[in-house]
Amino acid sequence: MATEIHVIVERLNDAPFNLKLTLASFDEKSPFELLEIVNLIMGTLSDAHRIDLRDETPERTINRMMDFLRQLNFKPATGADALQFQTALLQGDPRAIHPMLAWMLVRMPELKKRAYLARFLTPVEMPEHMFADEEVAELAGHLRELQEQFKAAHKAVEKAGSAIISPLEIKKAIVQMEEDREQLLAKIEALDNRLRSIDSFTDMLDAISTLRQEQDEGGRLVQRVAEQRAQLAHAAQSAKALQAAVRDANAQDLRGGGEALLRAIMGEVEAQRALFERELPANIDDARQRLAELEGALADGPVGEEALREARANLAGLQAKARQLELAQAAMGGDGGPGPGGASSADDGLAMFRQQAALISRKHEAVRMRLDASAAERDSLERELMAKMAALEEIAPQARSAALSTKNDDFKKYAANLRGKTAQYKKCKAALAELRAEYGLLHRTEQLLHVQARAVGAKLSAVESAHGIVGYTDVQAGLEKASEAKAAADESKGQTLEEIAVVVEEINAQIRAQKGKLAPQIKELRALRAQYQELEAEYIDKKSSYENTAVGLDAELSKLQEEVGAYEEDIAKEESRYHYLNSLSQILDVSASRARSEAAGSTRIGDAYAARMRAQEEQTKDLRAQQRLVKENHDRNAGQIHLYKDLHRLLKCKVDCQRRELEARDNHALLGAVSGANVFTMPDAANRYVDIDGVEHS
Amino acid sequence: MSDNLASAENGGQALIATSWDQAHPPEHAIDGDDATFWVTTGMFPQELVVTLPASSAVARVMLRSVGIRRISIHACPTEQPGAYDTVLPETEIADGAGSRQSEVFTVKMEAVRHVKLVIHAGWDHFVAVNDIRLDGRKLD
Amino acid sequence: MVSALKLRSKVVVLGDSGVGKSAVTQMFHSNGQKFPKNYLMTIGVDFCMKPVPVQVADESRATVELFVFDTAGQDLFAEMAPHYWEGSASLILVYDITRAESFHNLAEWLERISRVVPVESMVSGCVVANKADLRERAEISREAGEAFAQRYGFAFFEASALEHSGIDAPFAHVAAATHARYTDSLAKLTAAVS
Repeated sequence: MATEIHVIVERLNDAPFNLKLTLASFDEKSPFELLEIVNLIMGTLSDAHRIDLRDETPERTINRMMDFLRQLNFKPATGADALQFQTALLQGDPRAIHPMLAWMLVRMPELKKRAYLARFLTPVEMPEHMFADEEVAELAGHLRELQEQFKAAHKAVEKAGSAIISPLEIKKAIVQMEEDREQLLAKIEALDNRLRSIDSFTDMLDAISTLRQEQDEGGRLVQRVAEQRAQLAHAAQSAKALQAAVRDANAQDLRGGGEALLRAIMGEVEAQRALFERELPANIDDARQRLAELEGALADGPVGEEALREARANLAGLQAKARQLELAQAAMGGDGGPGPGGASSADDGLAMFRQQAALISRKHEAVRMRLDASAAERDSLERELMAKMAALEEIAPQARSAALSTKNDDFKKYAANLRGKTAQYKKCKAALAELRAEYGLLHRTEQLLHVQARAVGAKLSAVESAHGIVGYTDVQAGLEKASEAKAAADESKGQTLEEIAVVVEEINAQIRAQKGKLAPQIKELRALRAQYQELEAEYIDKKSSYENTAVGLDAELSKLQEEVGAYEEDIAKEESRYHYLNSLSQILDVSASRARSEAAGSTRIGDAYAARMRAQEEQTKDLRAQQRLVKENHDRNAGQIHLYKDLHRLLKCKVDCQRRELEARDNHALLGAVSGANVFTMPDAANRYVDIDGVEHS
Repeated sequence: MSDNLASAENGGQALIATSWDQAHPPEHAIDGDDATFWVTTGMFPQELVVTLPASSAVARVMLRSVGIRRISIHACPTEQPGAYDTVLPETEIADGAGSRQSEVFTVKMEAVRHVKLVIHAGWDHFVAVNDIRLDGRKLD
Repeated sequence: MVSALKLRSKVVVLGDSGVGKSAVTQMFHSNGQKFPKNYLMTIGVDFCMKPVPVQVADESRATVELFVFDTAGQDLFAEMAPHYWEGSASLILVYDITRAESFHNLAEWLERISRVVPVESMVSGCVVANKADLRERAEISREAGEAFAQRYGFAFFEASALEHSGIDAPFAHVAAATHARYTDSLAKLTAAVS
C-alpha cells in the first residue's frame, strides 16, 4: 500500500503531470480531487477524457471511467466485482482508486496505445434485431471494414516505426554527440587551465612563439640569400657586359670620338647613380616595412581557442579593411573591378575566409600587374629622360649659339616644357611608390588570411574528428530534415486517424439515430417476417404439390393425348367400317330384293343360268360330234387331198402344153397338125372326185 | 315446361356421328348456334346420335340444315344405345337450293335417351346440320 | 395434333363385259399385285374400298376413301345394276381399245346410269381406254376416246391393267376432284349460314 502510494506520487511528479505532490499532500486529497487525478490520467491516455469533471454529473463520469477501464482491460482487485468497484469509484474510495492509479501509471505507454486503439476498435454494441435493418447492417459492415483498415494501417505504422531508426533515437544520438562535444571542450579547457597553472607557461609560450618566428625568419633569410646571390650573378653578368662595352669603347676611342664615349659613360653612371639614390632606398624601405609587419604579426597571440577567436576578429577587421581598400582601389585605379564579395558577416565561417582570401589574392594580382606596368612605364620614361638630358648637354653649346643666332624664346619655352615634364615625372614616381607600398601591404594581408583560414579549417576538422562525427554538420542537417518529414507524416497519419474517428463517430450517431427511427419498423418487420416465413413455407409446400400435380397432369395429358389420338384413329376406322358395311348392306339389300322378286315369280337368275347352260351344253355336244368326224376322216381326206393336188398338177401341165401348141399353130397358119391324137384322159380320177363329193354330202 | 333437351347446356351430347371434320364436329349440331354446323364428309347414309342426360319425353324435333334430301329419326330408350325405334320414317325434305332448310318434325318419343338422325340422301354430296332441337321434358 | 381429314366417295365402274373393269379395279385395289390371270365374270357387283391420299395446299393431311362398285357388264345382271349405282358420286367408264363395240356402248352406259344419278350432278367422271398394251390391234383411236370424254366433261386416261400402267391415275383424279368439291361445298355451307 505504501509502495503503491510512493509509486503514484513519484509518477505524478514526473512529466507529463508535474504535479509537485508529496506523499502527505497526496494522502490528503479529497475523493473529488482523487477522481480529478484519475480523470487527468485518463485525459492523458485519451483525448476523449479531457473533460472537466465539474461539467458532468458524477454518474456520467463514473460510467465513462468504467467504460474506459473496461477498454483498458483493468480488473479490480480480486474479490471485488465491477459493481462494488463502481460504487467505490463513485465515493472516491482511495482503497479502490490507489491500486487503479498505480496500475495505470505503471503502464502509461501501453495503456495509451490501448486507449488509442480502443477508441477505434471497440465494437459498437447493438441489439441483434437491429441488424435486421439493412441500413444498420450496412453501417455495421462499413464500420467493421473501417476497423479492419485501421488495424492494417496501425500495424503498418508500427512496423515502419520499428523498421527505420526513429527520429527520437536520432535526436537522442544528436544530444549524445552534443554532450560528447561539450565534454571534449571541457577537456580542452581543463588542459588549457592545467597548462596555465604551470609557472613558466607564459615564458614558455613566448619562447615557443619566438622560436617559431625565428624559424620563419631563418627560412626567409635563406630565401633572401638566394635572391642576393641571383642578384650578384646578375651584377657580374652586367659587369662583363660593361667590360665588353669598355673594350668596344676603347676600340672606338682608338678610332676617334673619345670625348663622346666618355660623355656617354658619364650619362650611364649618372643614371646608375640616380637608380641607386632613389630606387634602392625605396626598395629597402619596403623591405623594412614588411619586416616590421611580419614582426608585428609574429608578435600576435598564440594558438588555441583564444587565437581562433582573435583570428576571427582579425579576419573581420581585415575584411572590412579589404573592402575599404577595394573601394579605394576602385576609386584610384578605376579598372580594378571590385569583387562580388558583399558585406558578409564575420562569423560566416571558414568558407567566408576562403572566399575573402581568394578575392584579396585576385585583387593583389591585379594591383601587382598594374604596378609592373607602371614600373615599366617609369623605366621607359627614365630612359627617355636620360637620353634627352644627354642630348640636351650635347646640344647645349650648339643650342646656346643657335639661340643666340635664332630666338631666345624658343629655348625658354623648351625649358619650361622640360620643367613641367620633370614635375610630372616626379609626381608619377611618387604615385608609383605609394602603389608599391600598398601592394606590399595587401600581399601581406593575403598571406596572413591564408594562414588563418588554414588554421581555422584545421581547427574545425580537428574538432569534428575529435568528436568522432566527421561530416556531422551534414548529417545533422539531414537528420533535421528527416525528423521534419517524419513529423509531417505523423501529423498526416494523425489526421487520417482523426478523420476515421470522425467517420466512426458519425456512423455511430447515424446508427443511434436510425435505431430509434427503425425500432417500430423493425418490430413491424419482425411480425411481417414471421408472417412471410409462414407464407413462404406454405407457398413452397403448395408449389411442390403444384409441381407434382403438374408433372402428374402432364404425364396424364400426354397419355390422354395419345389415347385421344388412338381413339380418333379408331373412330375414323369405325366410320370407314360403317360406310363399308353400309355399302355391303346396300349390295345385300339389292340381292335380297332380287331374291324376293324371284320368290315372287320373276325369272330366276338360276333358271336363266340353267337355260344358258343347257344351250351351251348342246352346242358343245354338236361341236364334239363334228370334232369326232373330222378326226375319223382325217387320214383318208388327207390322202385325197394329196391325190387331188397331183391331178391338179397334171391338168395344169396339160393345159400349158395345149396352149403352147395353139400358139405354135397360130404361128404356122395353115400348117397345123391336129392334136386330138395326143389327148390324155383319166377316167379313174373323175370317178374318185364324185366319191369324195358324195362323202362330203353325207 | 319445354326445353331444348339436345342443347349442351341441358346436358345433351353428340357422341356418335359417321363423319368427322375437326373444324365441324358433331357438337356443332347441338350448340344452339346456327352459324356452326356438323358436316358430312361424303357417302350416304350418315348418322348422328344425340344422347340426352336423362330419360325424356320428346315431342318435336326441329332441324336446321343444308342439303339434306331424305331423313329418318330413330329413338332408343336404354342408357346403352341398342335397338332404335323409328319415330320418323324416311322423309324427303325439299331442296333449299343450297340454302337453309328448317324443318320441324312432330314425333312421339315417350322415354328416350338417344335420338338418332339418319340422312339417307343429300341434294349434294356433302350436307350440313346446323342445329338440332329436341323439344320435350325430362322424366323424373 | 391435327387429325387427317377423311373424305369418302362412292365410285362406280362401268363398261361392257370383258373390257377389263374388274382387272382395273383389282389392280388399283391391290396396288398391282392381283391381276386376274384367269378371267372371272363378275356376278352382280364387286366392291372394294381403298384410301387415296390427296395433295393439299396447306399442311393438313387429307385422305379420300374410295368405295368402288364394279358392276357386272353382263346383260344378265342389267336389272340389278341400277340399285348398286344409287348414291354414287363419281363414274369411271372403261372400254377395250381392240373392241370398237365396247367404246360405242359407253353412251348406252351413261344413259343407263343417268336414270339413277344424273351424270351432271356427279363429282367427277373418267373415261379409261383399257388394254393399251394391245395398241397394234386398236380399233378405237386415242383421239376418239378423248373426244368422247370431252363431250361429257370427263377426264381421259389410257391404261393397261396387264402392264399395270395408268391404273392409279383415274382413281387419283377422282380423289382430288372429291377433295376440291368438299372444299367448295364447305365454303358454300359456311356462306349459307352466315
